[in-house]
Amino acid sequence: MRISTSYLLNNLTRDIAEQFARMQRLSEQISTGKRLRKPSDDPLAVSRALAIRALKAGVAQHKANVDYAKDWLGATEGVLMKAHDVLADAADIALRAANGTFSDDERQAFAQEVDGLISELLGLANTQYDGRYVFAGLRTNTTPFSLVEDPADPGYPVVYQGMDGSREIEVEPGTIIQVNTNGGATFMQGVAAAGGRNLFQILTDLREHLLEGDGSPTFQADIADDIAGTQAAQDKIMNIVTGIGAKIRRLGRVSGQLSENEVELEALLSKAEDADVARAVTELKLQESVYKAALGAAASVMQPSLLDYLR
Amino acid sequence: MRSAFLGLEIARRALLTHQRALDVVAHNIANAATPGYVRREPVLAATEGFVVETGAGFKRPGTVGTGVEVARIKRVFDGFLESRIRQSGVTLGLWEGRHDALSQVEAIFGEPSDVGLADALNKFFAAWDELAKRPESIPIRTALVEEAKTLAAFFNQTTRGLRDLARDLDEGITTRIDEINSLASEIAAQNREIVRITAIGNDPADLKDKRDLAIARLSRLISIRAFEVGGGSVVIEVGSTELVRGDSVNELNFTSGTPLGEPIPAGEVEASRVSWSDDGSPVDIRGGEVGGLLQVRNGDLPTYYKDVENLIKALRDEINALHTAGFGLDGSQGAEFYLYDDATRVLSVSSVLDPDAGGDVSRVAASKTGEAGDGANALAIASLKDALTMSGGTVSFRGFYQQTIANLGTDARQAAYMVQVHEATLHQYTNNKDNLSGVAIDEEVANLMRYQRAYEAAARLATVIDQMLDTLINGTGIVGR
Repeated sequence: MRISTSYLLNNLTRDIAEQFARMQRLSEQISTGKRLRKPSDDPLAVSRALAIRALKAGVAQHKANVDYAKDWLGATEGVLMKAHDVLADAADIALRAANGTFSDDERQAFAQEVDGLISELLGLANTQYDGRYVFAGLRTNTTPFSLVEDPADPGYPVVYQGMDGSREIEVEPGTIIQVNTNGGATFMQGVAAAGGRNLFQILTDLREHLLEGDGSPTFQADIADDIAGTQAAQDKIMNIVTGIGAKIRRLGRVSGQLSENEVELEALLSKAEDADVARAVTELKLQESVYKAALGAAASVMQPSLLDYLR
Repeated sequence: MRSAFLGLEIARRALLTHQRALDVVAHNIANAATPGYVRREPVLAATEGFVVETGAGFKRPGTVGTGVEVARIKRVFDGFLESRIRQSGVTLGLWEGRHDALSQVEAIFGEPSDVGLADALNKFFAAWDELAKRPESIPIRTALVEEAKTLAAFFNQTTRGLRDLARDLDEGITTRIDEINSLASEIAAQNREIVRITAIGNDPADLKDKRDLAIARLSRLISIRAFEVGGGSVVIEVGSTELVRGDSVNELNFTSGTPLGEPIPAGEVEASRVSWSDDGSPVDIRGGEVGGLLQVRNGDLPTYYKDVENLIKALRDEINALHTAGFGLDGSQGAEFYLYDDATRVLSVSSVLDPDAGGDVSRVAASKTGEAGDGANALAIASLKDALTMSGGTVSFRGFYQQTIANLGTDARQAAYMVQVHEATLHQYTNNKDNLSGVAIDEEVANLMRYQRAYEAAARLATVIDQMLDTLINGTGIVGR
């Protein structure tokens, strides 16, 4: 077969350029660690990679949401445990006042102690977390509970200015949970076992009864009511705390699941778009030797000419 | 009876013939690297001999040769191969044009990326989720508005990039149309010369080389059919209309289309179009780079643009529907979130919400009840991320975008693949042509020696005959001196 000089040279330069380009692609894969640079590199894989990235972003967001919910619920739980302690202290005082025979001065002191507990409970009900009132419902920027100090009304009623409502977040695809505990329902709703009184009323009643002392004919009966009331209030708080604890445990499981998902998605993403560096390095080595061989072949084909042998 | 000088005549013919053959070899060697050069071959032939009676004893007459001549100088060329090269050039040009344009579309989308549109969409929805958790927070509202502006900037960058590309493609087509017209004029001028030279009995081989080269280049640019007619002239057709006949040219005109997103004028089928200059009728283009670029300019590009614009509008509508129903931190209601200007084609966050435009982030409607701590509306907007809002409720925003990217990838990959395939085909034909018509230096050197030796021998022959005649003229008839 006849081989023309331009055929030879064209093919050699073309082949060498092609080998070089292949080497270039491999070294690019190695240096960037990515197999996909543009959609046409592998349209399906690129579209999958985009979908996986979206899922990953979702999982990261859900993890952040779970963490936030756990923090919020944990803070709520802590406050309610303290409220439970306050009520327990009140029950304690009521028991002591019922049993012993105390002077009016001593009962005054008990009443003052209860007064302190009332403001403590008020303070707890007005707890802020993350700059927001925990028990204000949806009205998180407003101090939810305040004492209306009216000397004419020794009852010192507590008023609720929050707005009960559900503050929800998504913790798993399609799973929305309520993270807040409503202050109105917790502190202001009457407790049936305490004669329909709310938590503050139970304490203010106790204070009033202590101030009245045994001058009142119904003193013993009143104090017994108060003891039952504080216990009922403790039960109510405990129920709420138990519910929150269950939620926190559930979120712990969700969080574990999300972490697993994150690892799986990371692996999938890597499989879709990352270069197999070990293979790329091996191929590069091979390609390098092919390239060198092509150069060598070109040199040996191009070098000799009939002209070299004619004298 | 033969002349005593016949030998000298034969030697003279041999000297001239081999000198001419050496000239041909020299021309080949000189043009070994000339693009499109087709090698020449001196066809040597014995000149006509004459019959003689060789003597009484022989019954049959013999033929006495009279030497050699260059019968013709052959252009070693295969017309079929040349037409294959042109045909695969047309197909390769088409895919090259598509590949070139689609690669640029890919660059505009810039996916997959850690900082692309897909990523901005993810971050945008995550920001709504954050706001759902802390609706009272001004910093989080500000962060949301910033993410929303980033997303809008990515959308605007993409649509603007596509619109600019449409203009660039028009520019690229214009350049190529100019080149086609200038090649056509070149071919027409060569036709005229070739016809003239052929008519006086010469072979305009070098002009034919140049014309073939021009036609091959033309075939890469646009779908053509070329055929030779009488007198050595070539006719070139695009579609079924003649671009070149003889020395006359019907030029092509290009009309830039309307910008992307704007309607095609009434009565026109395609945005950008090529027409014949004589009657303004559309040119039937089936291939070549111009064909490929036109396909993308009039077909693919508007589709991708429409996809992105549909995504922008659906996103705006869905978000605004929820946003206008919600309440801002300040109790305000009814503010739109995203605005899309149909004239400038720019997506922007409403200036009411954007602090940089004198707005107030507290007007972002995160709340459904008007209470500060209520993030229900933000949660509803965040949930749009997976809602089936596009393509008649079959796919989410992000799913739709992924489909668009997958379509683009598939189109660009097909183009890249077809370029490879047709490059290989064209390469094969070009190789065949090179091997047939290209100059092989070693071969020419061998021919150089062949003709040189023949020349030397012919010169020696002349010497021999001269000596012979010397003997005859000067050495005889001296007996009587």
